[in-house]
Amino acid sequence: MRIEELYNTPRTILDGAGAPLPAGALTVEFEQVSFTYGVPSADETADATQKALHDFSLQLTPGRKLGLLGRTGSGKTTVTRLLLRLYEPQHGVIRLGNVDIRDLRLADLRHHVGIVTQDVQLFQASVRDNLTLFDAAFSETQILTVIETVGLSHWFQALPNGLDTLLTGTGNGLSAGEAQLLAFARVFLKDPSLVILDEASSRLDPATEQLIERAVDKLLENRTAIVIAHRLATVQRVDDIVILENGRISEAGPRLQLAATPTSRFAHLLQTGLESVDQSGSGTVRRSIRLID
Amino acid sequence: MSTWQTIWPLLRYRGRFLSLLLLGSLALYGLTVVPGVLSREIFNRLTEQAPVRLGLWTLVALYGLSAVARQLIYYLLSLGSTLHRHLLAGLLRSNLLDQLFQRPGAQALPASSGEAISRFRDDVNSLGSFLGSGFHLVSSTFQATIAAIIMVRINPLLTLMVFAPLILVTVLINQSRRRIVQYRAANQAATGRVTGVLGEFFGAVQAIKVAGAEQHIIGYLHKLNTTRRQAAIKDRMFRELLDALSGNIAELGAGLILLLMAQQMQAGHFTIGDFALFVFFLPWASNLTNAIGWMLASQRQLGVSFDRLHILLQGVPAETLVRHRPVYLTSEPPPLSPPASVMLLPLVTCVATGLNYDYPATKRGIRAINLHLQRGSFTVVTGRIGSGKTTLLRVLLGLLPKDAGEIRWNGDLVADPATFFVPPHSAYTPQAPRLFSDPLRDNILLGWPAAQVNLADAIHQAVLETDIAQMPEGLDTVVGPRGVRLSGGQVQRAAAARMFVRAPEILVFDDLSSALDVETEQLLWARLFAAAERPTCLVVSHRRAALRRADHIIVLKDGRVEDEGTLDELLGRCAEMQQLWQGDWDGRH
Repeated sequence: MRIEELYNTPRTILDGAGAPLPAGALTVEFEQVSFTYGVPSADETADATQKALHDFSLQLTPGRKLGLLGRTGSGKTTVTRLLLRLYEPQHGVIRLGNVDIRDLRLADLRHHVGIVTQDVQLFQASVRDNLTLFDAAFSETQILTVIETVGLSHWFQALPNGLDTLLTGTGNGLSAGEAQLLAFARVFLKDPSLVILDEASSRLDPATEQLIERAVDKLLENRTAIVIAHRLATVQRVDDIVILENGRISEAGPRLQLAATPTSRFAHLLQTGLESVDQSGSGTVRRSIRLID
Repeated sequence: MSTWQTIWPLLRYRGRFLSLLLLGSLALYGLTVVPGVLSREIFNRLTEQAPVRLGLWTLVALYGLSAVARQLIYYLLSLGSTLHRHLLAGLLRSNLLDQLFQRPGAQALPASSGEAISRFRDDVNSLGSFLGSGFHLVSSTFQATIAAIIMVRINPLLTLMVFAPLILVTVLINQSRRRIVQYRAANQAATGRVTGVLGEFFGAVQAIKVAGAEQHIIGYLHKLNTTRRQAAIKDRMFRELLDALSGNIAELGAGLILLLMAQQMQAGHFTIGDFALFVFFLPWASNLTNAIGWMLASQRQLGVSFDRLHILLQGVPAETLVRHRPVYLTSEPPPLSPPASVMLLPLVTCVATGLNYDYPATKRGIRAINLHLQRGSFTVVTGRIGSGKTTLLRVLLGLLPKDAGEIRWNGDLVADPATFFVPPHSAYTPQAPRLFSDPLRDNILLGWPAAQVNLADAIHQAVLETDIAQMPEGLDTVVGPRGVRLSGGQVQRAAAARMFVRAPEILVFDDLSSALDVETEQLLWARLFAAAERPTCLVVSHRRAALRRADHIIVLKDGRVEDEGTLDELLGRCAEMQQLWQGDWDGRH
């Protein structure tokens, strides 16, 4: 009975017909997307305050990088969940490479999108399996190169059995920051056309973040990207900025333009950061100001 | 510790109940002798080959009566032995759980939680099979002894023949002892791996989906499951083979005996009644044979399970597993005592000296760390990833066992940090706090009595009030598995509120702000500093908002203190600090 019940649970996310995706960096487009958690798509009674996303529109041309800002709980992560079809919006259309994502095969969609989140899931399995997510198609050289690229060599060299070392709960002393580097390594191996960094470096210390900066640059090179961050330093490399507030866009535009408009929220955010730097009385003020140029 | 050394204290737990059950079981098996004796009398009466004292209908009535009595005892015995089995299993499980709670928090389990569940479930359950076999063996021995006495008096030679297969089976099982153990251990281990990895996969559904790794994951599970299947088949097959062999040896023996009996009857030494009695008793001999086989194999398998449970104890004396304690199966457990609301030792200073810890597998860790926390101070531990910041907090709080060093609270040595560094002495928010699929309120209170705390205040301190106001069900919002319906920052602030509710002497934050935006983080620290009495904080962070407020900063590098002091001092002289500080803003532009 209970097995049958589980078996007969209707799928809410239906696989697409399998429209092909163009090669190379992809366009990303949200058209008037609204979404509420926990409401079946047919039900339209959810009032506006409950909506996680409200009338959200966005256009990102191939290779362009978007910085998504906003307070915690403003809907940033929801955007990425919808893009990956972990949830289905009640209204609106999302397109990837000019194809409605509902027409794509789910496997195709997720194959083309690489995501690094703050929470990294590790498995009680070998380091190799943790990096490749059990995909046997990667060669040893590929994996080792990626480990070096993301700056995990130091940690890797201390492992007793190299790639075959079993990752356990605490035994290997993998710190949360190192786990996040491991997540970067996973995406490097995957080689996606669209990269999403969702608070990807929030657990990295600034010094380490600088170390992998080139790696991240390389990861974003020739790829479309969405970068979610609270830390302003993290969005230095983006072209466009969208600031979310309670599921609505409160500000959007090219980063440099917003930074140069004194009345913009983005400029205000930068200012908050700058003021705090001023108070500290250290010699880094000038460098920080250059962020706005 | 041998299997029997573990079993004895278990059997002594609720020993009187067990004795009662055994008596009942003996009575049940003893009563089965009655129909045998009666049928001999009935047949002797019918054939009139031997003198019979009782009338036919009396015999038939007695026959019926014994059947009713047997059913009644059987019913009561089933109830009782089920209860008994669960009492013992409950004892094992609560001892295990108790032990896990006493472990350093960051090292509670030797492997994954799913793997531990398989030990709690399967290995404890093998006790049931053993108890069943024990009852069966004791009672069948009793039954067979009565039968043997009656049969010897009728025909000693035939009786000897009836029990001969027993010896054969015992030898057989003893010969295969090593294999029973080996197959069972392999089976349990493989099952544990499957359960463990299943648990992890269910916990990581989203990560697996977005990585598009479903097929590979299933492939991996398939591989583990194939190993498990093969191990399980070997284990079961071997056991079934032994049972079948014991059974067949007994049956073949019975066949031989029937031939012998025919011979004896022709010679006139044996009446039809005797024949009926022997035929009735014959299966009991094979019963006993089977019981011995079952018991010996179960005991071996239980030994394997005890070994696996001892591993969960991780070094604690094995007797702990069978220590007697109340198990509340038929009655409600007493209400939990409310957490100590009395502050035992208000903080003046907390000093740690020479803390050392190495992770067993990699030998990385922390070395010779000194820490001095003054009441009302704000101490920040900073450093690169993997420099030992979290490890330091864990060792201080007793979540990892320190290899060396001592911790003093107001000058008094803290003997057991793990039991001391809990509210109201300290509270801790780990880097990735865990929420449960419960209402937000319960997640914050986490068992703390609502009447004793200022929930609204804690929520305000955690800068969570606006978020809660926007949730349709406010504090009653169910946060979903692991808090999936909240944002990363909301989860972290809910965990902070959980800490504030407990009003501890020391607040320990591990990278609290990693999921907070600049404004929210500023607000959180500002509110904390605006409190009537500034709380004592120990904070792991590399964020400027925290570093700037610090009275004292400790810079860790490769598990050692690189330098310590105020921010200005460190920025003036410590290269590592300069890099950590500048990296936060230094762009490429």
